[in-house]
Amino acid sequence: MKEDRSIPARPVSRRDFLRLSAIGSVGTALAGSLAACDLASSSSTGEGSAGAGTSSASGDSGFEIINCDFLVIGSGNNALSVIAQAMSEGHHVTVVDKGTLRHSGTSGMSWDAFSAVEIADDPKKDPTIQGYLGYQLNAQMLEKALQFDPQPNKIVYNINHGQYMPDRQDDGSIAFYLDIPGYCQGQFYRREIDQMTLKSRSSAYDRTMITDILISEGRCVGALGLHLPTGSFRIFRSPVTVLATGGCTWIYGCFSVSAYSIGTPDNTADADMALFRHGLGIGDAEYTQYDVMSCEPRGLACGFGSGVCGDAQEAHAIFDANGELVFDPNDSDVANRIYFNQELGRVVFGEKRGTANGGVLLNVGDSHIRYSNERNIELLREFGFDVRSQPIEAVPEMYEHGGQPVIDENMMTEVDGLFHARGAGTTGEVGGAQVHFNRIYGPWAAHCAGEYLKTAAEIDDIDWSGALAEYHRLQEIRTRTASDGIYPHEIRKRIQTACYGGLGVYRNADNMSAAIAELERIRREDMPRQVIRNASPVWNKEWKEAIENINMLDIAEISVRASLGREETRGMYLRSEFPQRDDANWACIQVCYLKDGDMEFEKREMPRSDWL
Amino acid sequence: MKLQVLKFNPADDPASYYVSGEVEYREQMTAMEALVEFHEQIEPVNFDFSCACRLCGRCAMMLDGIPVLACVTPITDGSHTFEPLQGYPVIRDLIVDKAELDARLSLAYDRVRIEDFSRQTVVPPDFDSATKELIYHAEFCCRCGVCDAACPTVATNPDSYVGPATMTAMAYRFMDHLDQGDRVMEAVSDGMYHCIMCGKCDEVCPQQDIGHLGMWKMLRDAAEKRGIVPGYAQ
Repeated sequence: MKEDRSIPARPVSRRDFLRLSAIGSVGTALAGSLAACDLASSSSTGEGSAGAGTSSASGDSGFEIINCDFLVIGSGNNALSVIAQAMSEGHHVTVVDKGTLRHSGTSGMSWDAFSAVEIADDPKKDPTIQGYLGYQLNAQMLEKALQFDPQPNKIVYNINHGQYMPDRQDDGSIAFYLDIPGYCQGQFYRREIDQMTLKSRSSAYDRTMITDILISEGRCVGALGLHLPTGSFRIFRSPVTVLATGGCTWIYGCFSVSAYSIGTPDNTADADMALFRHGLGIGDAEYTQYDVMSCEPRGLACGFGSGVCGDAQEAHAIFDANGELVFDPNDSDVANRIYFNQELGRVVFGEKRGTANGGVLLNVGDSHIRYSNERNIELLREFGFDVRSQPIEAVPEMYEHGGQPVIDENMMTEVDGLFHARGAGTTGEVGGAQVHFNRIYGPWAAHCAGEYLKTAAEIDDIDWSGALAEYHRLQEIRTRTASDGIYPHEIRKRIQTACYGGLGVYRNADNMSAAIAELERIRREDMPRQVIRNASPVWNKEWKEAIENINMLDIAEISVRASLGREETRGMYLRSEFPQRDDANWACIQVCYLKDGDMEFEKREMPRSDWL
Repeated sequence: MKLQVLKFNPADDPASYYVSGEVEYREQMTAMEALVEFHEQIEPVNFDFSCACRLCGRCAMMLDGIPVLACVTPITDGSHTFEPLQGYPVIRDLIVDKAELDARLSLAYDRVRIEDFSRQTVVPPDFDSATKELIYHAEFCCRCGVCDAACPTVATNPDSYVGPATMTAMAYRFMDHLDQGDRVMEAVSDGMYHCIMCGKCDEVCPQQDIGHLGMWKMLRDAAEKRGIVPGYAQ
């Protein structure tokens, strides 16, 4: 599985680069030309910028340097809590996001999928915290984050950040759905972005895909990437950076327009895998999380805004292909999502009682379903499905995935100055659900990054060679030719199909070895032939996908290998040969390093705490 | 089925142009699926999407001259034309720049409030069930801009009427009992009475259940009660 990761040499010296970059100034962007490009680039910046660059299909779009005080990558559920905390501590925050701001990732959806946690004043006594201890965690990290959190009551926090939660009881009180104390339905995180963009302490650069982290003499000094509308290369230099990007679930299976996931196609582990290639360790990659989502009609498969969900709370509506109930209605363990998914794996794949797409039949009948799904019934009816009177096929969909750089209890990665608000260890002991703790870890990561800044040395020199190498790497992907080329969408489907076999709720050596063999084949045979059909840098869907595929392949292989190595059952999947949890040997994080082109795994002890 | 797609790369092309080709129709197909097949089998087309289920609003485009979210729009066997969403500058092919609309919506959605709430001061709302329905449905507006693209008043009188997407934001905060802004005045001054109440926004909205006309009527009732109906509307 060795591959050539070298950067093609180009005739641009470091001196040339520095000379060009020196023209830039604080808060502005610099339009420049790195290579022998024939046209000047667009110099527009910021979230309002877009539109035409002045590049040609054969040229490039130059580069820009954006100077930042405090850089946050991502604008999702987790990132918003980082940004709010950093602003409240007096930092000017520069936010970079791959998608269109307010339409990106989880916070860019008008959905109701998340549950705000209302934590009691004393977290030690809080039933929510206690209940979810079983799902994760690096206890030491959580202890610090909880003790720090200035706004532990996330319902009040959300309301103060512009949300409303209108799904109330008849008497007007907040509706706690799923009958779990402390969890509230009705969150729409886009409102928080509205508030954030109107603050003078933030600048947003959206539609900008971070493809690498700028590391100079062992310290993170910013991030690098592409402004998608123009194809301009963007260099964000910053004395401190917090990564808060989402988990990559888009590797898991494929329907016509969606993976087997309610996640989004933008989450392709770009920054995480860039760090992996820089030599940082990636942990928690085997941990994935699922629920069940309808997959008919095919074009609406796994859409939270277009289908119906079968979660542990809807177990009474889940049937196998023969119409038999999958779960015993008297089995109280079903409410535990870990048990729910493991049992689902055993029945659907182990006993082969699943449907054609590896799923179940969801027969909701007249039963109560959450409103955010209830409203989809009319849409499904337009396509000929009446879910109130007939079952609909549904599949386990991956809604969350680990696989981030390892961090310490102060949320810092193995590179100085780079923090990760959901790094490895925020999933943890039982392979749990980060989504519920994102907003506890976010403020802690922001605070730690701010503390780091107080004592960090001034950056007196920057080694730009990493930026230059990354620039050339991206242009090579855009302009590569091959007589027997393969287009990015074809390679993507092959990665997704391989992962569907090896990263589901039912895993064994056979299906994971087959997945690894196929991923190795893709790396060896397909990736060198990946070409795009039009080389214009202006919003080029294929160029973007080609860059993403490299990251998806890396995270896919790390994840399957990590699962194969873990010879026990832990987290939300069943390892059929090792159905029991084995704390004696496996109460640890597995960390994957890239060494001489090979993936090597280390076991690392899980930090513990007596506090909780 | 025969598809025609309008393409344009502002860096290379003197003008936009159509490309066409045939892809196989399937029962229950969405417009997005047809477009993906066209992209993969016929000709590369640049389009944008994220959630593929009407929550993110990124795949808004014109299908046969009507603004839609491609992800949830059924398509029939036959000939169809895809074009970029009307009323916005094209970045490339079917991708348009809605940054100005987004910025305007953020302003309208930002809650006006004299101070933050504590657990003790968050009081329950006192709305009737009809308002509760209206506000919860309005929550699901994904800011796709489809309503603005279909609105005849926005097309003919853009300086006078802010458009249904922004008006939805004002109505939402008007119903939000935690908001202390003067949303009725905002709506009137942004041209609410220029709306001809034709219901196009209700018709094209991919969320199906957002009651635009109901919200407009509610805002007008409030304006009348306040005596702030503009002269041209009396």
